[in-house]
Formats: sequence, structure tokens, C-alpha cells
Amino acid sequence: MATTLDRAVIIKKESTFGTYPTVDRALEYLDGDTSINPKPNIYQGQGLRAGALLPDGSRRVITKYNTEGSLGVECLAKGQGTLWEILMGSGASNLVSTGVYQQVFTMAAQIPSFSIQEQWFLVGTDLVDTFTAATYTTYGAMVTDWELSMTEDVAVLKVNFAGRKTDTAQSAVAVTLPSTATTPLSRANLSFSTGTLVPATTTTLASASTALTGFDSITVKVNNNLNLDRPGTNGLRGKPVPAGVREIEVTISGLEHRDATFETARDAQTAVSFLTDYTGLALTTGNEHLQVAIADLRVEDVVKKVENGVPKQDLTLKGQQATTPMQVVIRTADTAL
Amino acid sequence: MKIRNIHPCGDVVVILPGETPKQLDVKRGEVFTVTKAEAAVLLSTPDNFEAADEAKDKE
Repeated sequence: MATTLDRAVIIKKESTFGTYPTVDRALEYLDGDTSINPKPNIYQGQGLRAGALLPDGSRRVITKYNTEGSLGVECLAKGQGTLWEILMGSGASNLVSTGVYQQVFTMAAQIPSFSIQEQWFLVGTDLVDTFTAATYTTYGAMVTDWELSMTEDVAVLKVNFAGRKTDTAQSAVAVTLPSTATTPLSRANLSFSTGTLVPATTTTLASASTALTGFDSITVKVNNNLNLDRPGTNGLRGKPVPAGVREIEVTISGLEHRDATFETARDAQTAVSFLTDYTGLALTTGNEHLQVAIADLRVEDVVKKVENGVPKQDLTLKGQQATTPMQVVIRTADTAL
Repeated sequence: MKIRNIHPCGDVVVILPGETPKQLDVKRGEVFTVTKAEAAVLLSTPDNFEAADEAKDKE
């Protein structure tokens, strides 16, 4: 019998905003970071009715539909290409060598919309432990902002999105999860580099000239700065458009204070390139990778501290325009996004 | 009906929806047999599964 352990979250990029494409990429989502709920704008009639001590329930109406969602996953080098595409805007998979593919994601002018299905279960009465499946599907979802935390354990991705509509009209799809060995991307295999950045091509990884060691954690936050207020038909949202430039903020926590590189970069506001590279399990040739490359960051803030006797810096950097401002690169055995 | 796994992730665990979910382990390219109703669910995601009936195999 089904239980709440059978819950699932499945996504797919939409070809047309708000049109269900039949979702097919199940995610190994983090329960505590994942929540999808309709949050419509509700108007309470303000007209005074003689004798009423409370607002009148018959004078409430929904004026605009909206769904708020959050999604969290531990990053894997398998099965998450679709997710990265809807975060970044553009993504492509190319064959590197037999059994090895490289997915490169870049910022695109338009953010794709996606549908997301949450396979949920309703519990029976207090006398039984049976559950009934309920399938909630959200259409016209677009990522408003996301955060990749390269923690002292593993890489974790948290995504916020806004949906156009949620209903229970769609059938539950089959949940498919990769069974081929892959592991969360571990801090033990994370490197961080700056200096001259060579972006990834379709089949080669990105590289940067100067490796930095001795840091606690790194977080990359991206805000797509979407305008969610476009009016659409029947109280549904019109497709969100960029309200302004996007924002990238990188925080590097606990970088050992070994020289004045970042203080100098702050004072001169010079460009700092950024490359993080997780190495995962072995593939037919080489290894799984998850890379994040940012071409031009400027140091916003440097805070010195001493932690357990070690001088460290907490850095905040802001992303700037460049020919290719940002890439996320995945080396994988997956044959497509 | 016979279904072929063409999932980009290769070997996958498939959980068919229902009050009693059915779980299958299928290898990359493997042809496996399911009921007609189950096949309809799987074929609704054409990037993951395709029909592998005899006629298609002959093509």
C-alpha cells in the first residue's frame, strides 16, 4: 500500500507558457526545502452591511491566481539537467566520448517556464493507515531565484518559483529515478579557482589559473528579477518578463586570510573570476563534474575574523555583465538533459 | 505490452503510480512487459520510454 514515502516531484520544461507538457524528470527532492501551494490574491468585500459584526463570507473573491513553490535537492551529476535548464535559461548536452556527455547551461534572455507535478497522499481516518493518491500539478512555473550552497558537506540547490495555476486535473506519471551509481557531490572533491578563466566549450570543462584552498563554504545566489504582475486571462498570470537585470551574489565563507588579494580587489574594484569544480564518480572516461563559472565578480564586502585561531575572511561578491556571464557545467553519463 | 527504456539516465527505477505503487528496475535499453494501462502511463513520457512491440522491432 502507498504511504507518504511514495511522494514524488516531477518536472518538465514547457514549450508554451502554462501548457502542460507531461512531466518526466523526477527529482530526489529534500522534503524540508520543498513546498508547493496555491497562494491566490483574495479580495474581501469592504461594503458595510447593516448588522454585520464580521466581514461577509459571501463577499470574498479571488482576483488573481498564483502558486508559490520552493524546491530543494542535493546536487547530483545525473537526472538534474532539466532543473538546471529552467534555472539558467539555456542548456545543451553534447557527447564528449563514449558514455560521457557534457551539459552546459548559460543565462538566456528568456527564462523557460515549466510544469511541476507533486504526487501527494491523503491519509485515511484515525482507524486506518491507508493513503489515497492525490496529484497536484502546477503550470506556468518560473524560477524567481535560486541558491547553490557548496556546504561543508555536499552541494545543495534551493529554488523558489512562482506558478500560474495549480490543479488536480492531470494523471500521475511514472516516477523514474536513476539507479546507476551516482553520489551527492562532496566537499572533499570541491575545488575553487580564480585568475584567468577559460569558459567551458560544448565538450571541454572550464578552467581557471589560480586554485585557492582553505575555505569553509561557498554560496551562489541568482535572482532572476522577474515581473510576476503581468495580468493574464481569467485571473491567471501573464508570462513573467525580466523586470530588470539579474543579480548574482557569491559569498565565500571562512576563506583563510593568507594575503590581501581580495582586499586589493575590493579597493580597486577589479574583476575577480570564479570557478568551482566538484568531481564525482568515474565515468567511462574521466569523472562526473559540476562546475560553476562566473566571468566577472566584484568584491562588495570583506569581513575579517579569527576562528579557532585561524584568520579568515567572509567575502561577498557581485556578478557583472560579461560575454558569457555564467556557466554551469555538468559532466554526466546522462544522454540528454 | 512491451516497453523499451530509453531514459536519458540509463538504468532507472520506475515507480508506477497507484494506491499500491509497483516498482521496476530496468536497465538502459531493456525491453520489459507491463499491462496495457501501465504502458499508457509510461508512454505518456516519450523521452523516457517507447513501445517495443514486434512491429517496431522489425523496423
